[in-house]
This record gives sequence, structure tokens and C-alpha cells, in this order.
Amino acid sequence: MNTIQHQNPNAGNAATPETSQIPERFFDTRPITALLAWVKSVFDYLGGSREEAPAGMPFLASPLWLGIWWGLMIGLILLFCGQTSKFIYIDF
Amino acid sequence: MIFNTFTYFILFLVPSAILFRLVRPAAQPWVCITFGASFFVFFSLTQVGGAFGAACLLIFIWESIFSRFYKQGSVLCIVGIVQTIIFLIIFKYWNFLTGLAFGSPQHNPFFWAGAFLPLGISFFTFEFIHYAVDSYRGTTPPGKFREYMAFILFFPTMVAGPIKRYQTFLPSLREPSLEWSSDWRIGMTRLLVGLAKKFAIADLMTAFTNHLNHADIAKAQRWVLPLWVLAYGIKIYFDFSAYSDIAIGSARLFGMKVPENFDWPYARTNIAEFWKHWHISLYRWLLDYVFIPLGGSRCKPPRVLVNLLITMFLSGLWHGAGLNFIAWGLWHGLLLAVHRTWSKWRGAHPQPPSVFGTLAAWAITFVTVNLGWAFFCMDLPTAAFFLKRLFCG
Repeated sequence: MNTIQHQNPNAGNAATPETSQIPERFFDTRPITALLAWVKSVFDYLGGSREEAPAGMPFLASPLWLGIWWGLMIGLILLFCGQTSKFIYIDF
Repeated sequence: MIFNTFTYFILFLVPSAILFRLVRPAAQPWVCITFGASFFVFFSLTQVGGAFGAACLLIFIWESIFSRFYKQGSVLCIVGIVQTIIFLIIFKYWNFLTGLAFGSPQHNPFFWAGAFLPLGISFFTFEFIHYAVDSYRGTTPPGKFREYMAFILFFPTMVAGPIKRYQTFLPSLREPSLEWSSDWRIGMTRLLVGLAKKFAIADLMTAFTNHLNHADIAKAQRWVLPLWVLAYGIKIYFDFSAYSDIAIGSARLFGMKVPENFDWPYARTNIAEFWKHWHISLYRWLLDYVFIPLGGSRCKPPRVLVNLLITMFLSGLWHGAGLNFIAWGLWHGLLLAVHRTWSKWRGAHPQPPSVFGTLAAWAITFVTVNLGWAFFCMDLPTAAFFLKRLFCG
């Protein structure tokens, strides 16, 4: 969360009282965008499309976590593989 | 099936990826060629086209040999493009085009009853055209014959992409990553996540998408119709992104990187951004080999809109030989044209968008894209009936 607050441009504006910023911050999408970007980086790492573990979650790079994650994926695959069908884009 | 079969992993992926890393560099392209050709023949024989389908490998080998004679500014490049398109038209559009001229199969003297689609022909076409155009422009290195054949027959991307570029593939082939441990960790993660997405999400949606037919649409309550088309939107994203994950993960086991195909397209807040993040390798191909040669966005505004419509029309036509795919392409062309006109009219905004504005933009993009899937997953009369029931009851 520190990262997210850090990226908020309003956070460094000490001259403006916090209360007067409420409407502006309410309409400002940048904190939400930063949060969503972090969530995306977590999912991207879990999905294998991002190489470095996301900020604040170094444990995701550990072999233990990798084993748990692969186990989860294999469990899902085994659970649902009976109903599989052809990939849609093979016919294109 | 292909990527979701044990055969793919046991007979092809794991042995070839290990062998590729063990042989000397000069032999590595031959590993790609041998396994690629075997992959094509095996899956053609067992799943697509049978013996005739397998024999189509000769067409692609011929096109590959022909490509070796390309030189900058040579007419052979143009001949190569034309023959590639002719092969695609014969296999993919023959019955569609003759059907447009003569009507139903019963009245069509040229109807090809045993028509089949050779494995990966649409994606082969893109890569052959890319190489021919870039050779004509002199922007691609010729490489060696075995390297070019490895590019064409690299089986992880052969059937449904991601669409590669020779300029980026060649360095990756000549100097693949030697980091066994991290490549296999990332590659296997990508493979497992891809398979889980396919089995646990995409295939689960089939229970809903099966209802997208005339009889079920006629019987269904109106409120359920958007859910069915939304289910198709979820299915096609998770199905194709799973396929791309498996292809990219497979390539990574070789120590090679191929282009990404998806980057959270449904999270985008306008249609132009959606297309930059949906089937990215196709978007870039269309941009480089259709939109920009047509004049791109440097023409007068009406011409730019026409360029967009032509590009998306071709995108729709490439996706399938059917009027519904053309309608889908034109729908997206129209959305892009409207977005472009709106953006120009509104001009640059000094302030970042508000939360409400962003949510509204996301909702409009999401709804319009998902409405478009109606054309993609149903024939044109059924899609029209679906939309009529959805909007008019």
C-alpha cells in the first residue's frame, strides 16, 4: 500500500489541507489505477507473464510457493479436464 | 484439441525442448524442423484433414523454399504473397465465395464437399506474407534455409500463433536462453496456468454458450440473453489466452521468447486500447501490413475512417469464411471509427479522467465488445435474431 500512496501526486502537496482534498481525491483515478496496476502485476506474476515478483510479495518467488501454486493448478486441471473441448482458434 | 492432450506434451513438447537444449547450436533449427513437421503430420492425420491434410505440409514446404528466392524489390516477393493468398482462398474461402455466387451447395456446381482447413493455414499465411513484404522492403535478414524453416515449422506457435516476426525470432533461435532453471520454471507456470484457464474457466462456459442457437434464443427469457453472450465473451478470452499461454510457455521451454498475445483487454476503457491488448500479434500484423500501407492515420480524416473499416473488415474475413465474421469485423471497425471521431472532436483533456468517467468508458467498451461476440459465435440470421430479441423482446 505504501507504493500506492507514494504514487498519489496529491500526497506530496503539503500546502493543501487534507480535508479540502476530499472531493478532488474522490474523483482522481490515479490511486485506484496504481492499486489496479499492482493487482495486475500480482496476477501477471502468478500467470507466468511477469518475471519479477511484485512489490511487497517476495514470498511469491520462493520454491515453496511455486510448489503450492503448481499443485493448485494441477488440482484444477485434474478436476475439470473431463469436460474439455477443442480450442476455438484451431478452426481459424 | 492439440494443446490439451497428453500426446502434445509427451510426444512433442518435452522431448523436443530437451533435445533442443542438448544438441549443438547448428543442429537446433533441425530439431525445430523435425518435430514441427512430425507435429503437423501427426495432428493432421489424427484431427484435421487426414492424409490430405498431412500432405498440405508439402504446400508449406514449397512456400518456404520459394521464400528463399526473395530479394529486396524483387517481383518474386509479390508472386509469393499472391500464391500464399491463393492457397488460403482455396482452402478457407472456396465454398464461401462460390456459395455467394451460386447459392446453396445443391445449386453450387463448384461446391467442395470434402473441404478441410489445413492445420494452422491462417497463421502460416500471416508469417509468409510478413516475410515476403519485409524481404521486398529489405527490412528482414535472409538467414539460413534451416533457420527460416525452423521459423515456419516452430510447432508451439504453428497452429494459432502468436504470430511471430522473423526479425525477432532469428536472434532468439541463434542465441536461445541458457537459463534452464528459470526458463522451465516460468514456462511450466505458463503452461499450467494456461491449461487451468482452459479447463476450469473456458470449458465451464460451454454450458451457457451451447444455448446460443435459434431454438434456445426463441424460448429463452430476455434477461438471460446478455448472460449467454457474456459467457461467450468470457469463454473466448480464456480459451484463446489459455492457448497463447501454452504456446508462449512451450516456446520458453526451448529458451525462446515469442510475442505476447493478451494484456488484460477487458480492463481497457476504449475500443482502440482494447485492440492494442487483444490478440496483440494480430493487431500489430494488421497495423503493419494493412492499415499503414493503406495510408494509416496520416490521411484526411474520412480516409482514416475508411482505412479502419477496411482493416477490420479484413480482420473479420480472416477469422472465418462467413458473413457473420465480416459483420463482426465491420462492427469493430465502426466502433474504432466512432472512437476516433469522438477523440478528435473532444481533443486532449488536461485533467485525468474521473472515476465515474473511467467506469462509464470501461462499461461502454466492455458492453460493445461483448455485443460484438454475437456476430462471432452465431451465423448472421441467428445473430440478428438474438439482437432483435435482446433489444426488442
